[in-house]
Amino acid sequence: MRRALRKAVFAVLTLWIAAPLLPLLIWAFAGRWVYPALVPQEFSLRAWGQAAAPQQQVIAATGTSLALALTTALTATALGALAARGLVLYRPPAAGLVRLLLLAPVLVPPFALAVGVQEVFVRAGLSDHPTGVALVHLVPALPYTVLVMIGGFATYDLRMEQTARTLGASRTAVLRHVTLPALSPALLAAATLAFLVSWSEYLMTVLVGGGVVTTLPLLLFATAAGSGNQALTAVLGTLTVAPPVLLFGVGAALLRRNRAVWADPDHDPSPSFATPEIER
Amino acid sequence: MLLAGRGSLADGLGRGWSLSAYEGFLHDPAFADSLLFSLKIATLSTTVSAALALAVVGAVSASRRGRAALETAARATLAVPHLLAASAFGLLLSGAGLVSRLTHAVGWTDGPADFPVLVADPVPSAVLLTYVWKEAPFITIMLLAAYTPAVRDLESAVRTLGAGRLRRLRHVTLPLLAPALTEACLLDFAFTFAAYEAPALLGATVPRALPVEAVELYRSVELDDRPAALALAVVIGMVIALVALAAATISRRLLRARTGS
Repeated sequence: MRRALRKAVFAVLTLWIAAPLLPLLIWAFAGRWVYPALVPQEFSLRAWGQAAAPQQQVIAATGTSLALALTTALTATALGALAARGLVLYRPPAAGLVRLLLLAPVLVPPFALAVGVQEVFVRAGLSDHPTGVALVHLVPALPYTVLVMIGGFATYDLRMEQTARTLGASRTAVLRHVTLPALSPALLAAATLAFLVSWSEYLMTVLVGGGVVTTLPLLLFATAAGSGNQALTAVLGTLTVAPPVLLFGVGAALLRRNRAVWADPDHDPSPSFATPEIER
Repeated sequence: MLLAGRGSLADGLGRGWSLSAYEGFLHDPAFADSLLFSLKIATLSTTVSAALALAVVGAVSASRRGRAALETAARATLAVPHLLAASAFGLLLSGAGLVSRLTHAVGWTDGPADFPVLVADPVPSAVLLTYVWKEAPFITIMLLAAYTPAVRDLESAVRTLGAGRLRRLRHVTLPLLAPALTEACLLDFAFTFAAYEAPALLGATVPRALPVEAVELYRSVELDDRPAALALAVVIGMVIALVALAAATISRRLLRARTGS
């Protein structure tokens, strides 16, 4: 009875999660799908061909999105790790306040952030430029990386570094063989979150990029809002959703393997993926 | 944020000081409508997501395997961008969408016009569904992170003392999860109140959500609209600040209640 109930709960959950993604997948491969048919009358790859055409900018936009997301992931993770290291290991005065300030951008409305920053960027020549967009993506990504890295440093023992140093290891050797391996699960989780934040960003990219910087979400929004081309919307949607889901899968698998080596799962306060989200 | 505040207090060219942008709101019934509309979206989606997340966590958290499966499912949903969720719900719920086709196949509706209007309706059903779909997993993950072995130990301790399922929930589980729940709800409210994508794609033209209104004004060619857009940004920020303050008060009370007893 209880097992049946649990199975039913999971069936409903699966359906609930899959429901919006199902029409997306069908539409991406539909040639002709006129109401009220439940399955397309024709399947085709036409929309994919359409997306590959150069005038649609899809390939270029995917490249821009990837470059922005990777830059954000690297920068935000590095900065987040440094900030967390300072906050956790050296306990500066007013650490609580600093921490609060670092986390505050999660609550700042993206519109306010973009228009405020725009004023500065116009003067600095950064608006309508990928660098400016990358900088503004950094703002919502940083709180997540800081938070995850604080969790990562909570179980980190500074004495391991000191031990390695007394044994004659150079600073770079310590970084490579002690610090980075010990923090790798948290670093990976932080980078994944930062990548996701940047990859899904729409409004700030539009406002700061000024229509010059085109990313995949921009194309998706334009197609979904204006064109009525549902097949192309679905193709763009599939392109947008595939990398995050893949990344999530790979990240989770890597994390599981790493954790087995580096931490006793029962005592791990589980920084990583358990901490907030994304892509606000 | 500060720069936006400065800009909102100026005339159309960003010079001088004036409150005219804010005065404009007082005389504009559309502003009140938008504000109410955004508050409604944020409050409803947060409440429903939180209730759903609590129910699901309560239902499956007893078993280790159930928790792991729930966490995987919730994380997978978290990875989906909001914009994508909104477009997908558009394909699912529009007049000729998949759900409408299903109800037609079963014989409940006669055609696209017979299907209830969920997209681009003054009642933002599609927006709310999108948000619940995205935010319930978020709150679930925050709750699961707070649902530590220590909480489970306390639960079983109380159980051996003879407390039933409901009393355990009321006196042990809920109070211990309350701080995480408050925090998750605050983040959720702040996000849904300020987000542009979903109401822009799935909402009606009247009333418009505040962020959508702000973006429209910001892009308008009229010079006077610019301070108004910036003033809207300030209003959005202030509402979120107020909610954050309330959340901080609540969590401080919660902490005091726990340590005091």
